[in-house]
Amino acid sequence: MDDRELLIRYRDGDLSEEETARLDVRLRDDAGLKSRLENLDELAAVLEQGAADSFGPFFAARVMAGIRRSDAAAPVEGMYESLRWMFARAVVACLVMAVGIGLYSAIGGGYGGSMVDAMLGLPEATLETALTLGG
Amino acid sequence: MTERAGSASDRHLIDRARAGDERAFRGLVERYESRVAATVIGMLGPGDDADDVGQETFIRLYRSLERFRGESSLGTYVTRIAINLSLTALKRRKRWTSRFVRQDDGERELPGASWDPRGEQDREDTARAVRAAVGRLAPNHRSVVVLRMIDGCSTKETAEILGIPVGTVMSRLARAMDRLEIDMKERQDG
Repeated sequence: MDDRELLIRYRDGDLSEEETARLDVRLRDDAGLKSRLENLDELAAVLEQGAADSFGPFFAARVMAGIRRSDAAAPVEGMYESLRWMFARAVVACLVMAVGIGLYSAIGGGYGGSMVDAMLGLPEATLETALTLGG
Repeated sequence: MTERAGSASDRHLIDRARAGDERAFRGLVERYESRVAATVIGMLGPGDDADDVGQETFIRLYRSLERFRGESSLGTYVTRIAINLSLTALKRRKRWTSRFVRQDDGERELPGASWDPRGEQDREDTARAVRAAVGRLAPNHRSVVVLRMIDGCSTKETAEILGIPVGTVMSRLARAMDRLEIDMKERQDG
């Protein structure tokens, strides 16, 4: 514990009797330490006296108005949150589908065409079918 | 820092506020305004920022009344909200300052006064200089000074509010008070 901490605890009355007695002796003999204690007392007094004790007039009324405003905004915010959540889920579902279709198409899925072709019942696209369809 | 004698207890006002009684909550705001003002204005200085954070503190308290279990006193609970919001506001302010304000501009804004606690100097000048010096402390040191020296919280309560050990409160406080004294002396010498 350094001297500053010791002096703070001394002011707070947090030191044991033995520690207090030892510090009392030091304060009597050491003018520098005594001056530090006096400066600490002054600084503490200035800080304490400088404490603000209000936010100005009508603070409570402003808080209550703020609560009412946020209450009024809450349903809109709730709806916005729901929409955002729905949109996020739709995006995830689309991504999963896109990845699934991509994988199926890449692997082949036991069918020469893409998954979309299979779902729509389209014939396998080969050069031969293309020529046949073209007449 | 505690409930006013002869008035409704915090518990009673909380119960009524939970049941939707606005006047009860307003009573809590009036009861704790001075404590929150000391914390928030001590952290941010007076102005619109502090006023906004003060209001937000009580709005957050209102929203969290259902969750308040009374494990700590309402004063400690509301001060914890105030100090956390103040620290967030300081971070926001620092980001903004680092983007748009030159470092020396910030220095120029500080009110000038010298450290002469036992001299003839006007006390208001000294108080202003000390407040400015507190404003130059790092946020984690400033929060300890504000709670411990301005709000009058005990070391244990300060530790509880900040969620740090008592020993850390003491060492931060000692370093911060050292810094304040050095800062004041430098201003006096300079």
